[in-house]
Amino acid sequence: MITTHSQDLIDAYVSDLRRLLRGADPAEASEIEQSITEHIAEALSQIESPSAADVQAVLGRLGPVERIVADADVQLVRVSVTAADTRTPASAIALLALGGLALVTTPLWFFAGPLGLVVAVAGFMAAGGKTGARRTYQVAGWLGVAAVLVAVVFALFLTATTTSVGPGARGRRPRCPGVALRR
Amino acid sequence: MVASNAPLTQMRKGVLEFCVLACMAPAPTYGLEIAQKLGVHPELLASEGTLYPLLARLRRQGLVESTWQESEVGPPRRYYQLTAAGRLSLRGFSEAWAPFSAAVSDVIQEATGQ
Repeated sequence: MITTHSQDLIDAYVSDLRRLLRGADPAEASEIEQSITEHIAEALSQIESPSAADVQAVLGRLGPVERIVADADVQLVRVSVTAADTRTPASAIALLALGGLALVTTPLWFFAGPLGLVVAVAGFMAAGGKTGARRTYQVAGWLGVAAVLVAVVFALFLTATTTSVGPGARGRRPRCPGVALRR
Repeated sequence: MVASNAPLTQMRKGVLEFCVLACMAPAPTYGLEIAQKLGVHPELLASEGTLYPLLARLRRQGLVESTWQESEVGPPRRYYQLTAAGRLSLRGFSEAWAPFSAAVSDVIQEATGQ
């Protein structure tokens, strides 16, 4: 019978192992975790009333969990991660499309500006996380930034044009600059 | 200047799996028993935990298979045994090892005079 402290040591070790194996092939990760748990139980069953020091010795002989994970089939893990990275998620494509939409609608600056801003923020946030299609998200983000900049230029240009239409127009800011230009 | 561990690590990667297969050759065995057998040679098995990813890989490659058996002293044990492919692989390694290691020893001896 082991103490609560000893059990905590074992739980922490197995929990660290499980965390580091996340991303590995699930069947392989499960088999390794199960085998390590069995190894600990088997080793401790050979000791009468194992102390915390005995548990630490067993865990010490097993070695750091980082080393176990490094010896797991890294090649397989890499293959699965690479495969996931090369798949472009629908959200990245949607964000890219929205970035393009924001860019082509910049004459409607009041629509394109906020849309571009949202796309830029979402794109760079997604690219910064551990997501696949990082490049697609980055491109979407830059499209958003470009849309915001062009929309701002449009807005400034149209505002300047509107205010210089004539004395009658001064002080009367139209709701939509495009409408004001057609007057 | 301290000698690097890199050559040992590289050699271990190439050799350890055959030593694991060799441990199972006489009879089916379980993880802790293999770890204890190999653990007396730290050059081969630096930490016992690294044995399990290797066993999982050997099983996936079809060189070993595992079965559960009750234990009289502790929890049920997963016993590993060689498959026909495993025996063939071990035999190939065993046949190649003696001339290979002799060749390496000769070259080193010639180069260093030791």
